[in-house]
Amino acid sequence: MNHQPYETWILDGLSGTPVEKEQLNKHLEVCPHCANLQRSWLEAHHQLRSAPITKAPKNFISMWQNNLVLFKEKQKRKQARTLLASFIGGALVALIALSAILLPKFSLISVIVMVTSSVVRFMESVKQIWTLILSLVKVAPTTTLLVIGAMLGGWVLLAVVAWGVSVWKVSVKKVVAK
Amino acid sequence: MVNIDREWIDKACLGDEEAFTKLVETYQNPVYNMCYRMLGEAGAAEDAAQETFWRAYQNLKRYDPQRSFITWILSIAAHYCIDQQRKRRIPLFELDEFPDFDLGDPGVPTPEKQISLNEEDSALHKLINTLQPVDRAAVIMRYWHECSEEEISEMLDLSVSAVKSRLHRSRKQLANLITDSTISPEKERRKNESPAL
Repeated sequence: MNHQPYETWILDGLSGTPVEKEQLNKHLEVCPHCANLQRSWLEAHHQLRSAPITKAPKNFISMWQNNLVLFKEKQKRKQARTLLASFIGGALVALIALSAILLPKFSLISVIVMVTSSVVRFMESVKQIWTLILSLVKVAPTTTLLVIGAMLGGWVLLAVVAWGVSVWKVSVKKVVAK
Repeated sequence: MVNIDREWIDKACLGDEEAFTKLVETYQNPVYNMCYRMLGEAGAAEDAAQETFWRAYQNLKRYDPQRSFITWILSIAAHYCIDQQRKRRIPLFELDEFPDFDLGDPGVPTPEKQISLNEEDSALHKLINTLQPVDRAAVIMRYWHECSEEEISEMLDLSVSAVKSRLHRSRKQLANLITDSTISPEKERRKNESPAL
């Protein structure tokens, strides 16, 4: 049996003419499928209509105020990350462009030689500085060495304390945030 | 209300957080209801509603004053929930989870009535959770927020005819589910009945 347009009338509503209503009623008397569809739809419609609007929790506004601060911080972090990424990206692009411009002027072997000689020169300078320090230690009187040692030790201790305090602060803040 | 909204929106656009909080206060229930009906779980709905307001706050300058604010914000909520559901693809409703109820309000039902309301609510959730996310959003907008088909089409970025066909399909699906749920217990009984009867 053809259930159209009755199925549409049942589900989407009649356009309002009495003729349509009469036709639908006549059809419902003879068609169990459409009668069943109408019953079920009326039940579903009743359930939809009778369900209330669920209210937001009582603390929704205070949550919003707290979240707004968090959302803003998150956004700032995201912006900082984006900025950093764009800087790094820009630097990389500039580096690639520079190398594209400069590299053709040098052969691969000359570049390797340049890099190797720079590394060797750097190592030589480190070695020389180390020799100078050792000779100074040998020449300097014991008291001067002790003072320098105490100063260096003090700075190291101060750095360790500062690091420890910052780690402690971060861990305490995390607990408070939770 | 519209004029007050306009004033708050203008102030919020200029960075007045208090004005935006007034908007949150006014629209918290429809937005929360939209998220709750879409996601079927109180915690997720709360997060989704908060995220909706944050998105609205960020994009307030893009808001077209010709549109109603409720339509605009419900559209943000609907899109966010649709995305969430597409991401999750897991069972959406847990029977143990229901929204918190304010026991201090005089209009709040008694515990007995509450249980019955929750049962009705869960049955309804089961029913609408069978619909596709976009169809579900359309049904929620139509039956809870009394939106017209034109408004729904605007909110969901669909044509009016697409909304009509989605609503028709959803109604048919819901009616069929009701039919199945009333027929199945009978079928079950008959299956187990003694052949002598």
